[in-house]
Amino acid sequence: MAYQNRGYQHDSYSGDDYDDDGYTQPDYPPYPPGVETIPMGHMNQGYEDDYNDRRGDRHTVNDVRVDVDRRGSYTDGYYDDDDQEEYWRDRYRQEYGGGRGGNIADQLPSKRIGTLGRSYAHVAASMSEDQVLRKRSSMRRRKSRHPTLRAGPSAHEAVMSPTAYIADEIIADEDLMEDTEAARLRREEAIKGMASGMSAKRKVRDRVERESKKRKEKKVGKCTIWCSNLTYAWRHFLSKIAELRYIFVLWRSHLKKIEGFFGTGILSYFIFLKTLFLLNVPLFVLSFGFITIPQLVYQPSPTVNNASFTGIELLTGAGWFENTELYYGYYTNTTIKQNPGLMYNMQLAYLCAGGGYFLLCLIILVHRMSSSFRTNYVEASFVKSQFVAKIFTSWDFGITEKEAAKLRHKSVYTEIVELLAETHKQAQELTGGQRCCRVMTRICTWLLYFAMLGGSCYLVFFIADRLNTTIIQAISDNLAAGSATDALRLLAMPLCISAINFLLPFAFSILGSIEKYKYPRHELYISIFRTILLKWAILVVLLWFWLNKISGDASNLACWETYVGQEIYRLVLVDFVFLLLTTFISEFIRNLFTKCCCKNLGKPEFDIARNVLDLIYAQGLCWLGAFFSPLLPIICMFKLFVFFYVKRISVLMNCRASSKAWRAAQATTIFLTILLLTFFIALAAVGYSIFAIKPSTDCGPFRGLANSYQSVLNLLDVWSRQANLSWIKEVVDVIGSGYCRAFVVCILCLLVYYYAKLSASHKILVERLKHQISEEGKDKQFLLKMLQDASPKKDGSQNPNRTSASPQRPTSSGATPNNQPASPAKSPDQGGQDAFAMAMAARQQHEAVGAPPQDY
Amino acid sequence: MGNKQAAFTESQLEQYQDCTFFTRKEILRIFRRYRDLDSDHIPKSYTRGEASRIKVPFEYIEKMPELKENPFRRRICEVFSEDGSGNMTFDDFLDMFSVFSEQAPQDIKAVYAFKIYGETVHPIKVNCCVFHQILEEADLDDDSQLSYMEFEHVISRAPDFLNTFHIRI
Repeated sequence: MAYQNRGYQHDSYSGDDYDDDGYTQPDYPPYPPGVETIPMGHMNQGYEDDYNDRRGDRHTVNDVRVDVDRRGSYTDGYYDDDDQEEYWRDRYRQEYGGGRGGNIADQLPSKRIGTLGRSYAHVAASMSEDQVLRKRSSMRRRKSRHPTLRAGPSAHEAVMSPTAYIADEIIADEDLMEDTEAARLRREEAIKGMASGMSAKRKVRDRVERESKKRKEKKVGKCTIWCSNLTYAWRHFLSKIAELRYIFVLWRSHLKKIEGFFGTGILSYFIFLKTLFLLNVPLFVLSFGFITIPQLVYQPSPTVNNASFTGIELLTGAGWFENTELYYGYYTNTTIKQNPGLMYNMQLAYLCAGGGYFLLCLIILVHRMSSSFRTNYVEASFVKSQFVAKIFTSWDFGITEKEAAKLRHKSVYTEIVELLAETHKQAQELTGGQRCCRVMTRICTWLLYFAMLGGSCYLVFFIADRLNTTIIQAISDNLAAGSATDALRLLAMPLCISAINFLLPFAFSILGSIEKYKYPRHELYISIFRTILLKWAILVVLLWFWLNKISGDASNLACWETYVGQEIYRLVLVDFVFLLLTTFISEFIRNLFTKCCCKNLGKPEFDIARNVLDLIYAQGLCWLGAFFSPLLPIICMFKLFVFFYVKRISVLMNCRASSKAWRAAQATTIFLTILLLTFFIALAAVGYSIFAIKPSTDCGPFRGLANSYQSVLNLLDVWSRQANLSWIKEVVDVIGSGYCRAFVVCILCLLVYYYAKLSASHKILVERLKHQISEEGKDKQFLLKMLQDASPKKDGSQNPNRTSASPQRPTSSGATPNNQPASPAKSPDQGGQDAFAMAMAARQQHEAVGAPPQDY
Repeated sequence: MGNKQAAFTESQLEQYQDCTFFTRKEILRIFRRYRDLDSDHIPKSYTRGEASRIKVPFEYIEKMPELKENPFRRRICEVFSEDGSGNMTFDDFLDMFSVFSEQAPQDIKAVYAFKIYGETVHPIKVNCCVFHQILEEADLDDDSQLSYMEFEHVISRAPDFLNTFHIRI
């Protein structure tokens, strides 16, 4: 175990000159044998003893550094040389710099952060003043007895250290110290939530553990031990799972790299992609596990797939694929009986798998959207904090690349300048002509937009209608998809839709730039709205066409569900190829072009909004298709998987981050909302086809029924004939009745009304509380001013630079509310006056609150 | 680590798990990263209390890809190093990434953000105008200062805070 650490002794401390009395332990000689064997983390007994009897005389060597939490607590060594003064001045500036002037106000409990997280912030607040004074005076007494003690300042700090308080607090809390696993978990949470260094946490943990062990010994019941063992095993299992999860976290290193290069904006695209990918996993598992596998097990009558496989079917999804598990039409309508007593009703499985998945998806999406909406809009709307958000959250800690950092600097700068300009600019009055002109432009652009929208919808409908009649004719003659022309005919509509989806967004962005919106944000939102409206419109046109013109008896197709499944398959596939191609062309080729000839064109920007909307559209197709083609989810998953890598490579090679800042959190909420709406469209379409449309008579699990839902009704009928299950039918009848529905709607309305009222009253309350805080603040200012005016003037206040040069200990920014930093060499009273003087001095030093020191 | 030599004892790992937001694997991974900072001087085994003794100087830490472009790196290291010098022991290092990790709750992040931003000035020069705006938005009690409570109040409602105050390791 011959480790060496010579390298650090000097280079690490070359710049620091305050380490002469063991404070930072400048050198690490091999520990004496007795000490070396003490495993780290085992708290040395010295701390405990010291905490308890506060004798302060210690013998062990390694005590010197053990229990200091420098971050929050103070050190009160007896420094008297100039270096130390310098150090303390630095330290003081460090603790109170940056605009938080060092006046008395800083010593108020509410102004401290120090070592306490929020969960333990109450420790500081709850400590009564006399408690503190008592502790402080005892300390002073101790100090005056050993005025020349120089070694190991940490020994004394333990007395007042917030660590000890927190430990006390936790030990005093009966809820936390209970001998149950739940309490143990809470204890751990409390320790994790401490905003202090590792050694402090470790100390608290060790002390708390020891204490809890002591208590454990008192009462031991067999049952509790058993329970405890069980919960321990469960926790162990959970932590193992957490570790496993760590291994399986998808694309971790890629995400990290992307974030390093581009920041959270583009990262949010990839996270969205990953979310969709993971969302498709249960869809695939459900449909594959409950529909496809039973079908494979069932082994239908040996119908040989006669159709030849030429390869073009991969694109069209027709021909050979038609009689496979890929499509609805292939599945059986029978109840599979492998063994006697083991039955599997395919109809119900088909419905339940689909219904279960849609329900799951609904829950996940609504949950995610609502929580995102709450944090990003509702809660954020209580606080008007544009500037704070910009200043304090604009730096992206994930950035690791120089280019990205530069770009970030620039974008932060421009953003703030813009924001300032906005705030200071009086609402610029437009002249009548200008306003009129602007309104006219906007009317024109919107008209143009709706013309484009209508045009593209009609185009889609026209192609679908015209081509389909010929295709359907061909299919019914069993000729379809053999030749290349047929394939092209089949692919015409998907190609057309993809082209529209690719080209029109560019037109919309041109429209947006003509309209001259005041904020770029609005332009972005309008463009998102226009693009998604186009995609929805196309989807709705297609759905209308399929559900009205193709489905049921409207056409003479043998199996309309399979046909719709094929159409969706084609759409998905063409969309995939198209997106790959456009990525290649618009990113790779353009970048090549930029490099070779046209240098000032620059790398293409990665358009997050457009790319995310493409993903949403693809996902919408997947949801729609899952009912008609149970294996479509695996295709979608594959598509997203490939997409991740393609986009990752393309982004890293060819793109640059947008110069405009991307508010990832808000944008994600918007995209989730759009995703949810797309989901509702798919849900409505699938629901309509289940409840209202007659399934094909010769194929699929629901053949011969009036609609797919009929299978459930049939089951209920069967049950109602059995005596012990008849109540189910009655329950369903009651639920399905009009009264019940009206009742539910009424309850929902009442709930909505109640919550609306509640939130309105909360708003009023918040307003009042804000007002109250402001008033209290003013009172406090007034009182503090009086207090400071009343305090005796010392020479220090006239000569601020000298005051802080006295060997003062700066007050803790931690939990210790010692309003008067005691000066060990002086009498208590003097110390108090010193504190005032110092506070005054510091106040003057930091008078210019508006100009904090600028290091960068 | 490649070889069998364990970097930490079982109880050490348990302690770290209890005190940070990491799992065992992540702790070991972070230890690997820590050793990579200066593998010549950092021992392979940390079982004898090296975690709080041996320090890596700031000059090495700031070269980590995660920090090297960060304008606040000096301040971050100072805040997280136990003596405020910017030189970090493994304990400090782990603590730092624990706070920046995804699992760390918002309030603890806010505490450290307050400490970091409290001293450092943003890369852009914070001028008077911006400052007044910030005070106007965040200073609830009108005392022309931003206390931790006020800071926490606004920062916890800034939607992007959790996204940006996050370092993937």
